[in-house]
Amino acid sequence: MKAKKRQFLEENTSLSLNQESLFPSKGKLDIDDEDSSDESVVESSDEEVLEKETEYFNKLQAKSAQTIEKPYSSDVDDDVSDDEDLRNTVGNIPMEWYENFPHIGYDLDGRTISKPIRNQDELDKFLDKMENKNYWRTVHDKQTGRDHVLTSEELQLIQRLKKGSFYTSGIDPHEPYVDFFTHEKMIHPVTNIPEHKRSFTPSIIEKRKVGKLVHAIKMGWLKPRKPKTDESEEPKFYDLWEETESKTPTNSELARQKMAIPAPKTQLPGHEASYNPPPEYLPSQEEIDKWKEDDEDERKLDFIPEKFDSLRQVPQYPTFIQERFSRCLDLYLCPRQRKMKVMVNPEELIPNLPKPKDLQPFPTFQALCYKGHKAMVRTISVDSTGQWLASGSDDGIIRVWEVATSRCLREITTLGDQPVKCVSWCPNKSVCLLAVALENKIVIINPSIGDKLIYSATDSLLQSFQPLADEETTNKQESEKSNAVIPPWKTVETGLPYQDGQRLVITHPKDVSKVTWHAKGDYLACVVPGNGHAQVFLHQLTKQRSQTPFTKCKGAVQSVLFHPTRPFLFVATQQYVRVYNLVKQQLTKKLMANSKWISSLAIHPGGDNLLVGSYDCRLSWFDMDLSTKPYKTMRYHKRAIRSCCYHPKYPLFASGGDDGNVVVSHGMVYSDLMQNPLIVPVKVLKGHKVERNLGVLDCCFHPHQPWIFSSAADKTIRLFT
Amino acid sequence: MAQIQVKFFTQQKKYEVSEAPFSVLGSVSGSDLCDLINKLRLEQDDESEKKSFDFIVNGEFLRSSLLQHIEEKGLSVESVLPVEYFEAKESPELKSTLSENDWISGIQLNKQHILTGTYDCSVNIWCRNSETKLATGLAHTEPIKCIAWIPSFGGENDSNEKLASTSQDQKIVLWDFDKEKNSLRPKFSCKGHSRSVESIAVNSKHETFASGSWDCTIKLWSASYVPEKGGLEDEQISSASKKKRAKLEQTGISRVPQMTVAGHTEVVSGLVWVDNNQLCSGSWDHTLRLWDMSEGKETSQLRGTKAILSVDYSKLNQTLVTGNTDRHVRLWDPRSTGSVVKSNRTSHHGWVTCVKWCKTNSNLLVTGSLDNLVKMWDIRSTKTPLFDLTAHTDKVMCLDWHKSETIASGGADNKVFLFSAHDGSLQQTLS
Repeated sequence: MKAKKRQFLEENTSLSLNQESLFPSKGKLDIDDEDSSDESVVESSDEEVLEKETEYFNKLQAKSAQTIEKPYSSDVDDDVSDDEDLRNTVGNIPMEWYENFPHIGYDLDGRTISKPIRNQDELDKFLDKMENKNYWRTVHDKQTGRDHVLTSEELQLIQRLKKGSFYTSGIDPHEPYVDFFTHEKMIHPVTNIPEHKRSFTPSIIEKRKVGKLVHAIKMGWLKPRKPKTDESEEPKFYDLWEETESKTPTNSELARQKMAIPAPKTQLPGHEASYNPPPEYLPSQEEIDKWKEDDEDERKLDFIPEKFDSLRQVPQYPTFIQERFSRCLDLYLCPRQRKMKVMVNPEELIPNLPKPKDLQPFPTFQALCYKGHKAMVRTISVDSTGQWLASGSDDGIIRVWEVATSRCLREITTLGDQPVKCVSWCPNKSVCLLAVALENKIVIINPSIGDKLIYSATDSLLQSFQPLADEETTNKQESEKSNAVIPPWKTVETGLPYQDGQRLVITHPKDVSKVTWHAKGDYLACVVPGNGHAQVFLHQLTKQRSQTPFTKCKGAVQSVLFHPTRPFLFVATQQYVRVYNLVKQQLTKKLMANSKWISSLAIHPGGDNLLVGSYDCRLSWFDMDLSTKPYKTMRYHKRAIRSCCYHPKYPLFASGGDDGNVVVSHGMVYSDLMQNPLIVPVKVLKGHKVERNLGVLDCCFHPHQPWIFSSAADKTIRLFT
Repeated sequence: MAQIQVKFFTQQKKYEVSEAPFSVLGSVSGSDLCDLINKLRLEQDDESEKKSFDFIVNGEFLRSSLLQHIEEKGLSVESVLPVEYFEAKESPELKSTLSENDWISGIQLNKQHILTGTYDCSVNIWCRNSETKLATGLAHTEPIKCIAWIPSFGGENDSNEKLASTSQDQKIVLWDFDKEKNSLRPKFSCKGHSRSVESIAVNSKHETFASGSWDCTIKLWSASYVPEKGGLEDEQISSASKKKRAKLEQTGISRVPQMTVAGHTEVVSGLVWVDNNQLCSGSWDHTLRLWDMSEGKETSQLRGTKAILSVDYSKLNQTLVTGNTDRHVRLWDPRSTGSVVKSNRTSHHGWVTCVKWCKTNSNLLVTGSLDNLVKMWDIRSTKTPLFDLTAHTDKVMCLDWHKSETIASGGADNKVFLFSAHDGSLQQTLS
């Protein structure tokens, strides 16, 4: 390279020396450029030099390229050498500027480069395309106006550039990187130069600098940094609750704090949970069996206490996971809301009632037991004087007892052997009559007891009755009208039944369950239970006439009752008590008993309060001025209530039930309408035995004394005083 | 334990001991004191027998320990306590039993006979010595409720004895009992009550008797056996035909009441004469009323709280006793009015159907009850009765105490029980 350069320099110097010797080459160029005459001479000489120069340079370039691209074929080298260095010197300009010229630029020598003759038509282009196998790598060089066939090196270069990799293939971007400092620990340090002596001696420059600073501080020009205060030295903590403390909590927050419920506590393990529990905690085999049989909820302990000699012998606790899980459930399901508990002293809830001691008199103990019946005594009745007690038993026998001595004075056995359902003394004091309900009959009996005058007068009264002819016809008409059977009356006049006291027999279509007198003793009402219309019959004794007051009866009638003073009739069905006005013939009230099945009715002698006993153990007190619902419902009996009654004089009422008890209560009704009745249970009278699940079947008060009679399934009647 | 100074004294001379005060423990009971007295007696007289004694402190029987008794009475423990003692009364002994056919509703004794009225409508007379039924009277048609002797002034020498019976048939029949013939004939039939006649009481002069009935009235009748001259009774005899006369023999001459007093509102269940004119009546209406029968006016009223079943009056201590339906025996002072009960005796378990004072001792009474028991009481013993006489197996309905020695009771078990009450010591007390 150096030799060539020197040659190039020598030739340049010789150029200026041998200008004339260059002229001969001038003639050759004339052919190319005829227009330039004078100038061209000079130019030609210059152009020759330039031509040589470029040729030489091109060669150099090609050689350098060859040196780099040695592996490539020599063809390319040949091409480059063949291609006569048609270099355009116009630079990178748009070639359109030369469109109107016959040349397209100037070569190194300044000669024009004429446009190559291009007369190829479309057919030639096509043929070229079809035939020339280098067509695909032929590009048109605008600067030279020639076609250039790309060499394979150039193609590769283009491909590499397209890929974005290096322009030569000789560079491997992924060649292994050799670290300067290896990770391996070397025995020798990288530099092992011993430290300079200077580093061990105090620096004079530094000393000077420090001296200056000290002097400056002394003089007060420089103020030293303030020493760190203690506060800054104290460790600083972040106050997590700072904000909440200062802030006044809102109501909801306060409420939440207040209502916060601590998590339920787990039960602490007791002795039984010990691995070595005391022997009394160890279950026996029976207990273990029972524990296994028991439902999980019923078990007292979740585990069976076991005994181990030492702690290390205790096996893994098998239900640990279950226990943890149930604990989690406990926490998860624990109540989130506190229940509002009202602290009430239980004694305050008890109504302030007077003591039973202050409410005397009331029956307290059993005085007499009336024994004699052979079957259960279903019904009893005390006569209005209080001297006699009538009772009817299930074997069809009526007995009349002396109250004071429990002596049976009359026994009426001629009624048959069907159970006596109901007996009732006529409340009229001027007659001596007993109404008995038995089978489908009501038998009016004169027991011939008490005042001779009265009972003989009663007989004569009954005998003196003469039925009127037109009445019978009206009876018939009525019966036709109401479509109900008017029960026939039959007078007993002779024979054994007459001697036994039977006077009148009223026969009904079905069995009679209850009979009750009106307070004046002329009318009596009876219940004939069944699904038919005629369930209630009214009989008039003086006219010996019967009627069915209701064309329709809703429900099965359980009991009927006359109002003591006013023309009202109480009809109890299974759930309601209907009050009918007999004069106006309309329903006045319907009382709801709040019970499933009414068993008995009783009316206060004042007439404004009603007692309703039911088979579902309830005894309801109705204040009829107050409401159609019970004023008070009492549940003093454990089993069905069979009967209830009011005392005609004392403020007492009682109920008898299947539990064999009679419950006596104080029930004061005040004349002041503003004051509610006072009800205080005062005594439970026990004594009757329960037989066949039946206890007290009937109870009634003595008309004058605070005594109560009760009849029961144990075949006795008892008097409590 | 506190020491108490006691001084013993007695009214029974033969058991006297020295009056020097003794110091005894407060816890001593009656039996301890009894031993003490017996020892004291032994010291005085070696031959004295052991006896049991009863002690009275401050007018009441000593039944608990001495200290307890003193505390209850509020006596001073410091002073010397006078203690009266006397020989304890022996338990009445069951002497004999008579059987009737039906419940016995009335019983009364006299010296020779026992009179019973029964529920089978008969009046029976028994001989006390032979215990045989002498006569039966059937004139009633309903059960007898009460009976009474009508003593005559001739005393036992009379050949005839008079008696009266009341019944549920509203009649009172006056009977004549011929001792020699043992025949019982109805003489008079007292008609006027409209309900069963429950009680009868004969005046102390034996001229009249009163009857109480279920019709709430008390009627006064003549007890004379001589038909009223110029009255209805005479007419009945004179006008009667032969047939009717025979009927009169069976039923007795009808008699009408002398007087009727009304005031009770319930059955008059007990009657007793307080003196010759004053009658006391007890009723189921809870009142005791005193009547002046010469005028037929109510003089005073004692109001109780429970029905009265029977009344008796003791002339010795002027106290009325009633048997009530609430199991109590109540003592009343007839001079008081209102509702003042003197005291209560509670031990029975049933109605007290009959009460009777001892006619010779002011402190003793017997009561019969529906709890089958007859109890003898000393009114100085407030808590407990002296004795329970257990013989009846059913309700006791009537009893009588004749001359302090015999107690008779009848009841619903158809039996009459006679008890002998030893009263030797009591008589001495009286004398």
